[in-house]
Amino acid sequence: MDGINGAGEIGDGRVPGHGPGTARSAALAGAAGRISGASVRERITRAADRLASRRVRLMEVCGTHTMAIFRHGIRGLLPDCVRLISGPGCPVCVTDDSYIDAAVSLGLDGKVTLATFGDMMRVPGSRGSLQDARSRGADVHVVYSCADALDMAAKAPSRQVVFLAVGFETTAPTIAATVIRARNDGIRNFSILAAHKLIPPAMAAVLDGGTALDGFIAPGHVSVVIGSDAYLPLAAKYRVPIVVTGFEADDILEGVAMLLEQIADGRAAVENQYVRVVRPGGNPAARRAMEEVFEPSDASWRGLGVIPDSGLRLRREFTDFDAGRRFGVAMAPAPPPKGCRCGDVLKGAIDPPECPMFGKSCDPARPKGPCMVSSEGSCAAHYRYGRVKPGSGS
Amino acid sequence: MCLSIPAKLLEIEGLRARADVGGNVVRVDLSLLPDAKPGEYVLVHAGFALDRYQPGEAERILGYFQEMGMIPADAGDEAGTGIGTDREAGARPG
Ligand code: SF4
Repeated sequence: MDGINGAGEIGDGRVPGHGPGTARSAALAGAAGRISGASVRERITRAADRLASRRVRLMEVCGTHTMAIFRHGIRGLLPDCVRLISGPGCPVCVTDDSYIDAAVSLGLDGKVTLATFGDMMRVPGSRGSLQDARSRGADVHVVYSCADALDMAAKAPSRQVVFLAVGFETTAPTIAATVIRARNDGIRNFSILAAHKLIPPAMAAVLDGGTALDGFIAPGHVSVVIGSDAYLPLAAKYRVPIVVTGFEADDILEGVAMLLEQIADGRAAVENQYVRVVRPGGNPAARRAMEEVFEPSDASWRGLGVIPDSGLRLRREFTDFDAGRRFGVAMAPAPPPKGCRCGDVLKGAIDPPECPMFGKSCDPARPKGPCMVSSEGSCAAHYRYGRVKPGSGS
Repeated sequence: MCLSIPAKLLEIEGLRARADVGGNVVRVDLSLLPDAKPGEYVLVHAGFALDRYQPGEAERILGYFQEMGMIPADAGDEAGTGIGTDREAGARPG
């Protein structure tokens, strides 16, 4: 982390004079999402000037940010010395093949009904996708909410319903609340196959893995749950600037401005650009539900490998709801998909077009890897919007 | 991937609510935001309200997500089991 050698004060406070008011008035001046923040862009230019021509690499770790950045051509609006790279911000993309394989074989066994978020359906595992499994007779239902899967179980007591529980801290509390309800209502034919992932440990793993980064654009909605304070240990340990950022073009530009200003000042603080929505402590009820039901565990990430304490498993009191135990599901390590470089994309080591299959044998209609399956995956965002001219905004 | 959308709470019964998302009625679970009140705008993720929005913020972000094509302009159904008619596209973890 060369260059970050200042006082490194930690706090969720914002730099005086660079407060949310700037972003809000700029954003309100134009229609939602249009790029109206001339003052924010001036701040970026000023901060970049202060950095001379030092190259700066900033990573976003949220699929919604990835989409918005491509949609608005934000990379093209930044000075040449500033590079935005997409990190492991899409929960579908980081889900390991071994998990898809386990879900597929559970479905093909024919003893259970699988309920899943729709984005998981087309992710290829080493033995095909859940969609393939469904066409081969597995009973797979797409639901919008884990609560819908519990309702399915309540209505069909003779059928075992297994919910495929993936997602970051935004999603995990919704699963936790559903498991608590299943226990309270005594619904015995419901269980989950949990592969939740936690964002702060993944950010640490990216840095530990040697990806050179000068700052993080921290996710807006994950932070709604965990709060901006959750990043304090990370900023302190790695002396890396972190700015929790909203989703509109002006939000993202202001987040970048705040990061560049920190870097130019030699600070490594946690700041919150998205104060309109994100609080320092997050949502206490959501955090409580998550802590009641889950405990941290090691988790396997596509591309990043096993990261200590970066996942969630059911606590002992809730292991009755563990589909892995109930049905003896084994997660065997799967060979990486041939030629797909999602792992390198997720680490920020390559940009999607550097993958030889990008746009050739791999596109959204025939995805070879999860980064192309999920609409918020880097490859899909690159494919859909990569050719949008910078500044064409909406 | 953290797709979450703003919804206006219409009526609340215990921890279950009906809410308006861009003119469509959806079902929202309030277990994680138990003190939410009718008329408030909340952030909904995977069927659960996670936070409330300040006035004005919700309408703007909803318009923005629709403009981005992240949520269909027709964003809900009365049964409330899915957001949008294409449920496979609408159901996303985050
Ligand atoms: S373009 Fe396709 S094959 Fe290449 S990394 Fe992305 S998802 Fe994998």
